[in-house]
Amino acid sequence: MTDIPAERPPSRSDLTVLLRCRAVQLRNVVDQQLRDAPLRTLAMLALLAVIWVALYFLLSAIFRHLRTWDLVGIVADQHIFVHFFLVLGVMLAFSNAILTFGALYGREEAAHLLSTPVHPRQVVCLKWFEGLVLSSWSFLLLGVPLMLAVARNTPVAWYYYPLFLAHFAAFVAIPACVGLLAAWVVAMWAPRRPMTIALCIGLVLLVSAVVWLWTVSRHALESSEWLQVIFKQISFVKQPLLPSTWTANGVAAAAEQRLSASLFYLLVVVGNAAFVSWLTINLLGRHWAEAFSRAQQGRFYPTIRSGWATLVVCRVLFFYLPRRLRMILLKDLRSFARDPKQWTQILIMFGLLVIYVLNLRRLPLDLENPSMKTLIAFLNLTTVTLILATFTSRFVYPLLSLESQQLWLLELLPTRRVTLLLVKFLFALTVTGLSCCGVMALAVYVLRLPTPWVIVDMGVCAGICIGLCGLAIGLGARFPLLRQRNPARIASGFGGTFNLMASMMLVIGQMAAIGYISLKELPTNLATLGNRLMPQSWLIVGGLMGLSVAVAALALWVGARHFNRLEC
Amino acid sequence: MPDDKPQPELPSEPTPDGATPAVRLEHVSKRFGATQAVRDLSLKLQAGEVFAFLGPNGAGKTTTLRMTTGLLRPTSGRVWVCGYAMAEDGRLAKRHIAYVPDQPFIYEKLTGREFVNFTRDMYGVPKRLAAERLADLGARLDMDGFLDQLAESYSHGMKQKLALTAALIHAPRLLIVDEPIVGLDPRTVRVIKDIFREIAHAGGTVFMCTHTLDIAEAVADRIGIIHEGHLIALGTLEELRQTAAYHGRLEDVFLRLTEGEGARGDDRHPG
Repeated sequence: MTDIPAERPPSRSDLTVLLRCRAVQLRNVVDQQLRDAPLRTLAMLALLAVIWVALYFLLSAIFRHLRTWDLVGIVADQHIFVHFFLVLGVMLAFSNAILTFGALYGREEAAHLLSTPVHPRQVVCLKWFEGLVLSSWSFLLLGVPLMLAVARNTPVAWYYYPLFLAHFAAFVAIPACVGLLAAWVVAMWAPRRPMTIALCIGLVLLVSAVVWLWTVSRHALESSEWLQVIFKQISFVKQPLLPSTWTANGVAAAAEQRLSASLFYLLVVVGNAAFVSWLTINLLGRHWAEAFSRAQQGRFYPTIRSGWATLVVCRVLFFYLPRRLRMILLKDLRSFARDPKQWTQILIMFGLLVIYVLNLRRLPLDLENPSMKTLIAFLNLTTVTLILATFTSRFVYPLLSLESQQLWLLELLPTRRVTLLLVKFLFALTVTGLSCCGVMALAVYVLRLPTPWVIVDMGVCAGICIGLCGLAIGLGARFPLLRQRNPARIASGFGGTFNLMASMMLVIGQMAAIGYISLKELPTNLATLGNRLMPQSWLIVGGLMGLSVAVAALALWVGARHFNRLEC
Repeated sequence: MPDDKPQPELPSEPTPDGATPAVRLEHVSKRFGATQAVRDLSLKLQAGEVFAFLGPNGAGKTTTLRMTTGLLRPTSGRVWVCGYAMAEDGRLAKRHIAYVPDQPFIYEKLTGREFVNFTRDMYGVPKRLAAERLADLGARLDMDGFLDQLAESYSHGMKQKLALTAALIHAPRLLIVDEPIVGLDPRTVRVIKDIFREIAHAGGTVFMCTHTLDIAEAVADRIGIIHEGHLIALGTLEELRQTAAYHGRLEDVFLRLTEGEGARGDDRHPG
């Protein structure tokens, strides 16, 4: 179009402006965090440090254990690195795809940027860069402990560390591109139900993992032989054309002080990552507007005519409540059922636990040994209750804040506010109780625990469910965020953080007591795990359950007092 | 309109052709799956006019606006903005556009001033010029009290004011606004009406869609009414009255035109 006058060029490139905008946002977030919630920030960093140190020791122990099995060759064969980078690559590609779909084809920032003259390629470039930054978390949380654990068990040269970092940085660019491309494919050709597609893919991966686990654990093999069989069965992942194999070879070469081999693989990965990134950014930059338009027109909102399934579930679960309260619960149940973010997390978390529990007997563990049996039962209970604590903090705690925005509507109902609080508590307790106690029941059945220990595990699990739900609902009513509609932000506020810490303390305290009981009971019942517990143990268990109920009652009372005075 | 108010400036470069319409939609249709949102819509908006696009909920107003801004691609037909075909020269066209949706997007972790500066840099507006415009618009829209607070603390009205200010910072030739006065106080509504007229007076174009018929009646030079994807009426208020054969307020004219034949047997004159 030569007859059109030249445009006034912006003084900075679009990418520079976008990056500056991100930098200012980041600065504001950090300022705000340090100003408004220094303790929460500190607590978050401390928790991260704990996770990091725990991972380091875990990985270090794994490497040390492998040496005792005389399988150092496994490390030399790069098996562990291959699997690590392959699994990491799949996880990063998946998370990048989900995040990118929202960022490039969602209605907010993408629509805003697309209505401006910003160059589409530079927006895609920004998203690619954000994908790399996101992936850097995986390095901080998983890569660094792995790097140090290897270094602790193998004599390495100084250049091992920078080379590990370089290999990692080059590798993560590839799943970032795969994620971008996957989101683009969905937007272009399957935009009607992106979440359904993501869930289906996730489900296929999960089922494949279960089938594989089932296959490899079919024979009760002992330690090193079992591990070798596993590695043999999954040797197909060590394809020479996969970037995870190149990176693994490069890292292993660096660990073995083969500098030139490591540099060779690094250049292979860098070259491929650069080419794939260039291709992805240009392809998506060219077609972003088209893909955005298709994604908008493809959004599908199904017509729901009766909602009979939720109605039946509500009638069955809450048959004991008056109809008026059941209707409030039906609303909550439908909101829960129609929000895949909530139920998929429960499904994935507890689904993984169920898979683990079902495979307990196939693991190379001596489950007839009372010490081992007690330890596993203790770990099961700890895992289930810790997961529950995070779940109630993330999903149950915001319920009251979200409901308060429609309080004017509920105020018109002939129901007291405190009743509303109890209804929410019952709803949370039913959903979480069924999930947790279901998994624990399966675990104690598979472990074939004696009756007293079944009562202890199930009783404490039920008690913790009551305590955690009471805490989440009570503190949610005490510290509501009335204008905030984003549940994640409600959960990360002062009240949400306080609730998380209180929940963790409740779980840790109770588990410490259970650990104490286990240690006290074990020496007296070394031959067979006791069919009878000492009276003191029953007293402690009763006390723990009472404490849980008391914590729930106290939190609900405090919450109800504040909630009754709340003005909307 | 008082003469002492500062006039919004237009970009220094002219449109490719002085007679080129600011917006030209030619046989534009848009389909969402089984739903036909816009059907064979042809429309021209000239420089220097305020155009109001009216219609019932789901009539296709916002879809038309989003196609004009390049956010949606028409299923068929073509869109030109300031002489640039949106399909081929979208970026060139967008240099002349500002779009304020009904739920404006603002980065919540930026202050109002930082958001305006981001928009300024995006359009390459010189800093001094942008600062002058921001001072003027900030004073007129009464934004000085919150301009340096994070946008996450803003009410809907504050966000609307900020989005409009950011949109006007590059003095667009075409301002596209979806529901411009929802959630705003009467004083701000008055200021916005003035701004729209000033833009048109300076040779720009305002393309707004709204359910608030008062603002359309007060500031629009021409009005288009869309119903079930069809443009059923187009013209000045007087021309719409003639089309509806009803000489009353815009509200009554609108109801006549969108209710169809069923209502036409009633009185054709206001009481």
